[in-house]
Amino acid sequence: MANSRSRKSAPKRPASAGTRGQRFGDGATAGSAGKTKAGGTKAGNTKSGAAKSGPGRSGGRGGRGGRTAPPVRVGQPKPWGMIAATVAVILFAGGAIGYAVYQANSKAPPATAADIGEITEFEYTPGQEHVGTDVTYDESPPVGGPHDLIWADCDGAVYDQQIRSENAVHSMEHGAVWITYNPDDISGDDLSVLRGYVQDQAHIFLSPYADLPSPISLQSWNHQLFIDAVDDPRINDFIQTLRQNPAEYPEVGASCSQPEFLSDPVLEGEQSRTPQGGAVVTDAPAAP
Amino acid sequence: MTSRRWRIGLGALVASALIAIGGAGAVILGLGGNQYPAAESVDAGFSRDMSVHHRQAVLMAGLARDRTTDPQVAVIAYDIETVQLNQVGQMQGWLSLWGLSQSTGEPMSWMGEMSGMDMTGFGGRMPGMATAEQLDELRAAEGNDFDVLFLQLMIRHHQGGTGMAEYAAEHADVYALRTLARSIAETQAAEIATLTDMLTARGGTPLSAP
Repeated sequence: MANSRSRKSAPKRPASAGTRGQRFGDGATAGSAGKTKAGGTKAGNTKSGAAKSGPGRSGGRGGRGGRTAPPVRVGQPKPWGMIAATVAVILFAGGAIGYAVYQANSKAPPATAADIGEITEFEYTPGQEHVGTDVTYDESPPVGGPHDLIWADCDGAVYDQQIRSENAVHSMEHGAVWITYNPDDISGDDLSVLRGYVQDQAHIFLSPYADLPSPISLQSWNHQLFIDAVDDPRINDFIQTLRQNPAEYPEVGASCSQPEFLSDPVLEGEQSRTPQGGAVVTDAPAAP
Repeated sequence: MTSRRWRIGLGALVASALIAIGGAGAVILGLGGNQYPAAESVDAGFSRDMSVHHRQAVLMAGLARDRTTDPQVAVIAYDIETVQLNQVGQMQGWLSLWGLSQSTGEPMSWMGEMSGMDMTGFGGRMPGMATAEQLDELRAAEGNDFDVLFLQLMIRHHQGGTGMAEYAAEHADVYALRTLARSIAETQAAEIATLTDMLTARGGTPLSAP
């Protein structure tokens, strides 16, 4: 109602004044009047604010006596409320759509092994033989190839002595990460840090490895990374990327549990507990 | 008054238009769309049928782990039992996520033209599956006879499963499923060689391939 009344008073304004200029001038008046009369409501900020400024304006006008009444809301007023609301809706919609697009595009594949600095990758095919004999591996520690029928327990197993590599390779075929350390370099607190990566975790195991060319190395099927210090963030990267990564190891879903090996590990230098290995026949009964 | 109503109307129109544009954009982007495999897809059919197929291997391997006195048979049986039980869990989990039934329906129908060929002569069973009579025979066997029969049945079981897994590795839509199927095909093919050597070493000969 304040608006329509103000508009009616418009013809009283001096003909010379431009409507736009007057409106601004009027706004300033209303603002100063509002400070005393309307409790500082910012004119034009909201519809209710504009309405409240009406009485304030007439009060100011009255105080100035003979001055020509400055009319308000000449012509089409700026619909600030609607503009603000529209901008808010656009920003919200834009944000929501932008977020949705970001989400849709962020379904990128997980980090790959190649992203880990200085990692070496190999190409041992799935389905390597089970052998009861010792294997001469090309890598030290090995990362794949023929292996013992019995896998080393790799459910967070911490071995204090060097275990037989032929058994450890089978564990990596089951998706485990094998952390090895040079016992000449790693002990005490450093060893405790390595144990922390392994204990109570699944599909990971730790053992010393004599003559390791660096203090620490990490192995998984077809992957190897040599590391100097226990605080190297690549240890975590390696574990996160390669432990039970179904695209990177042969026997997806295979178990790490092997209680007999855990309680009585086969150590490096010892013979296989299953000398026939399944594939290598020695003194078996002859086929008919 | 008229002007105010008009402005409210315009505001509502603009808001509605923005919502409609956002919704259309979401549809175009495929957000919230159901991209799960259908009930008759290769992905679903493989998950259902390979779960059934695997469960028989788990049953036979569990029997072998309990019954055998041969540590080599025991350890490979343990390996087969645990890996295949894990894989059954993965496949049943996918079916649950996709809102599909775990039960088989028409066995092998997902293998397209190959199914007709493979199913003839199997009495509706999946390739490589042991018959109820063979399972009874296995339960009754002892000593080396048990080991030989277990190895014979498991080799044949692997041979049948390998064909199913190879087909799924080629034709399934879901990446994780193709990865699992590839793993099954490769590891079972390799394990057939190991099991055959073990069978030969124990004086047995393989059954005819499925």
